[in-house]
Amino acid sequence: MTIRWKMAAAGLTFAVTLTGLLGTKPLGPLPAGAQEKAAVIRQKPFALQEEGKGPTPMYYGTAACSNKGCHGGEPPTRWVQGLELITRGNEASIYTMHDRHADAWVVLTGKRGQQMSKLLGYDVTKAKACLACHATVIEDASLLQAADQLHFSIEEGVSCVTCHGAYEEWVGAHATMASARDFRKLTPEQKEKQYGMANLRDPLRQSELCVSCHVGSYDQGKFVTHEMYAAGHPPLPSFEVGAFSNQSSRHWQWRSEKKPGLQKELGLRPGEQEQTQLVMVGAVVSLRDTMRLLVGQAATARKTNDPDKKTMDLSNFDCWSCHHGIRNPSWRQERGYGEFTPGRPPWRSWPSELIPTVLEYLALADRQTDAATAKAQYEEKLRALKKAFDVKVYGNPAQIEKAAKDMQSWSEATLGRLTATYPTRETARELLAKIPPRYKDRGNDYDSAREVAWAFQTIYDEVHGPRGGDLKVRQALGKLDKELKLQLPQGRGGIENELDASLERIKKYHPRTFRPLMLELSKAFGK
Amino acid sequence: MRRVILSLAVGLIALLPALAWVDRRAECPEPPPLKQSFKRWEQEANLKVQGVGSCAAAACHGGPERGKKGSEYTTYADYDPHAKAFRVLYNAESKRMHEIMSDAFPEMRKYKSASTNPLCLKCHGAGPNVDERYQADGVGCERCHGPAEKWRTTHYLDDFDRTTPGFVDMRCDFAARAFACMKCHVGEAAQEVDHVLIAAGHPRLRFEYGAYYANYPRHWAPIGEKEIDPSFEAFQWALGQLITARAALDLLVARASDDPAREKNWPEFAEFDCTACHHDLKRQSPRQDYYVGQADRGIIPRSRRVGQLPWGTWYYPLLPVLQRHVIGAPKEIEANLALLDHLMRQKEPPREEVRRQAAGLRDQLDGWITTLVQAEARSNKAVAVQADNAPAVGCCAASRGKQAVRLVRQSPGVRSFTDAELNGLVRDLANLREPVLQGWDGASQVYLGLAAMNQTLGDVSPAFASKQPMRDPLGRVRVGLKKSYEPAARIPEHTRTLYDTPNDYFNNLKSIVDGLESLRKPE
Repeated sequence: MTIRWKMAAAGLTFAVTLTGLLGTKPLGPLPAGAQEKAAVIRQKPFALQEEGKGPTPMYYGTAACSNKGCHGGEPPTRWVQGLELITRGNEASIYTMHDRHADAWVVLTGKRGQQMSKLLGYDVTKAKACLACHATVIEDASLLQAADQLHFSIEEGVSCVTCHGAYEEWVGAHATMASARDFRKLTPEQKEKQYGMANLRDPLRQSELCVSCHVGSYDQGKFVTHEMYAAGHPPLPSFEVGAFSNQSSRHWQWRSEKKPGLQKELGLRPGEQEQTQLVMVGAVVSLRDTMRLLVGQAATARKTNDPDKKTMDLSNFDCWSCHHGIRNPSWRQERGYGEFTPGRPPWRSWPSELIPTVLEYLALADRQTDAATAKAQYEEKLRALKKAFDVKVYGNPAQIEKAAKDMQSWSEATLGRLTATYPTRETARELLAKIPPRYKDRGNDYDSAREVAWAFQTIYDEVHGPRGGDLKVRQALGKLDKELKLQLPQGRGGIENELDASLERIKKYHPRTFRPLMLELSKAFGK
Repeated sequence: MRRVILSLAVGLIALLPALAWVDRRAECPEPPPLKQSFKRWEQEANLKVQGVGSCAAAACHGGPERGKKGSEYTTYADYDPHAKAFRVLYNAESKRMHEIMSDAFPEMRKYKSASTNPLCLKCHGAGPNVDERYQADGVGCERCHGPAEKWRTTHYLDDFDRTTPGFVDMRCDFAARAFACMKCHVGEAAQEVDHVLIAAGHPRLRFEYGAYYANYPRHWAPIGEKEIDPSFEAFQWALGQLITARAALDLLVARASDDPAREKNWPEFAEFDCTACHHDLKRQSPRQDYYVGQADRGIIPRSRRVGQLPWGTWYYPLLPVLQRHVIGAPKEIEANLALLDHLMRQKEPPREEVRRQAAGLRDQLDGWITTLVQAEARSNKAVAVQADNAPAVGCCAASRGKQAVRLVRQSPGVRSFTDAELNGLVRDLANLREPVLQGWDGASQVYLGLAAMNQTLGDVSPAFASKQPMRDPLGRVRVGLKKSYEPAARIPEHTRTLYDTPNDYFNNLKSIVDGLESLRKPE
């Protein structure tokens, strides 16, 4: 029996093991043969992974996690040695009932997916370019076979192991009681590096994971091209990790929602505002990974002879700069184009929108930072990037590559500084007061206005509680929601039903409705 | 005494041409080679503009009656939008455009306003190299008729040489007449409305010569075009289609040049269908439906792909139809156009190939236009006829009360387009489905073509004119096109009506297609 098979059995036998140890009510009958296999596992205590040895890729279906006694809704009420369960045990149930990630693949089979297949000339339910985000791409044939045996199916969309790590070691280690106690003592880094369990409590790792699809990753083949959009892919919205996390059908809890003992075990630092930290880190990760996307494409553009790839893909440009009905008067003309060329598609710049706020936060958090210098440095890089997009139609790939690389390493360094510190409630409060005044006279586009509003709302909710705080601020946030649709779609199903409403907001958006609302927020703070 | 002698002398001198009695004005020379027709203005670039003031005297072209001989200037000043070309540079839109352009291009900052910015004066003033004092004339007489330095004092004489440098023969040279409009309304290398200017606020250009000509507030007395050639409207439309396409191709050649300033703007977005990008996104996209329709016929993804920019939707969609019905068409037009279309649809169209292909196509069109124009001109002759209704005004004794000039058909009753050709054009235009489904541009061109045919058929046949069989179907098409701009498609608080995008086009596609369907049916 191979080790893989053992681990597969481990997933299945967790419930059996638990019921054996704790005497909770037994589950339904296991498939034929599983009892025997489980018995073999049970007899061998789990050996911790050797130092320096990486995890083994293995794909488990959600069935491996959704046992009632595990994450399927009826977890044990007490655990060995007075330890508390880290999770609530209803994760898989919440996911199955409410999380639209579960529909990621199914939506490809719908009317829109069929249309896209027709227009793109390939089957979107099978193409790697689609599965990279809407499910999982498994290249290795034997791995695919093993996955199949483990009831893993791309039809489950973005399922448990897609985010938590498709590796056999951690699944086995956390699922068998014998090893779980030892496994739990490991650091999150060990769990990730040696066992393959993604360290999603780390805002950096979480952001990277979300951003890889919601922004894209050239290396991982996750990249929504303009051709896909034109064939019918709904526009990717701007992405603010904090708001998207908080508004998602969370099958997990913020650490602050957990019991004090667990908070400490999970590394919540005294007074830490974890959502604020996620907003800050997420903002820089969005920028950094956008830069990676640009660098990847620009490098390809430099080498290729394919005329369609010689320039940057249109998806890198601001969607709404072109996709608006021609109107007169036009707010874009009223705003002007500054030093940039009118009529030349600009970079889709929302990933840079929160960076000034991040710098303001850093100045508050680590007092060494010279805010003005940091801001000047950043702005110079941003200008170089925007210029690289403006020197000619579709930008100059060589200049974009250079500017994006520069911005990417700047983001890396900034992430280093961000993770070395953390926001307290006081810092978050101070930061909140600084956001609205920045925008009260600026002509933001829809995407970046949303970034700002989301970030503000998420931080405000964390500081004051989800419904707490000043009434005036709440009213202004309500108006912002009406204008920008801050509330994300809830529950399972595609976004088809909401798309009309969302696109209508974008069509009707006007900076002159955003500015006064930021002024209103600003005044609410002044009191 | 001396005064009497002087006036006698002047009178004698003025009478001299009359005594000679050879009215050379009546002879239309053989049309010059096309290149010459197109170059009239450039060749004489060093000639001095005299200003509209030099034409406007009451005894010359400043008479009192609209559209009558001798009232050319007055008609122009009162009714012709060209007279307002300069004035619009003072409105709020122009002011903002100048500001936007100055922000982006430091070299423009030295001009205080749109009315002094040479970029604007290229088409809204007397021309970039013309004396400042004439700029306020706007698009004055000489922008079309040619700089008058060499002919101002002679053009009314009986023996005036119509090939005088600077004089553009707007009556006899059909190609030059049409080309006069192209210079601004389509644009040329030195003066064009590119996407930069459009983004700054300039409306897009969409010139259709036949329709503009038919609706133009004419400042010239009737020259009897339709009496000579009853199908003149169709000729004028066909000529306009070809010359417009030709001018657009010539501009494309310039835009695709290796000049670094051009490279920056390449691909030049003004070459493409505006509404392909500029539309509010919708969940259910009619454009995607269109491409699905194409895919069902196997067109995608081999030759055309979604997300590409559709090129040339305004200037070229009717050329294949014209190729089948208009005299002198080279065989390869449609194939060459498809090749160019393929190149232009690439993300970054290869400049050199585009240049070569566009220049080749342009030269082919030149040959075609030459044949068409010569066929029309050869069968016409300008003769002097007694001016019965034209009042005897004019600055000169020589022409006083004498004659007006008419073109007459050499073989009366011969038309440039036969009934069969006209009906064929109606059928093929109504059959053109692809450009109509593609968007507003194509449908408008089809409509305007059909409207020209409708007019021509009425002109050639009184029976058709009284029955008006095309009126209702054409009405449906027109209503569909107009409704594309209905206020319902706009967001009230953000929109005025200066110009707009036909946002609602695809919602009205049915009435357009229905109209075309019923035109297709044989009677």
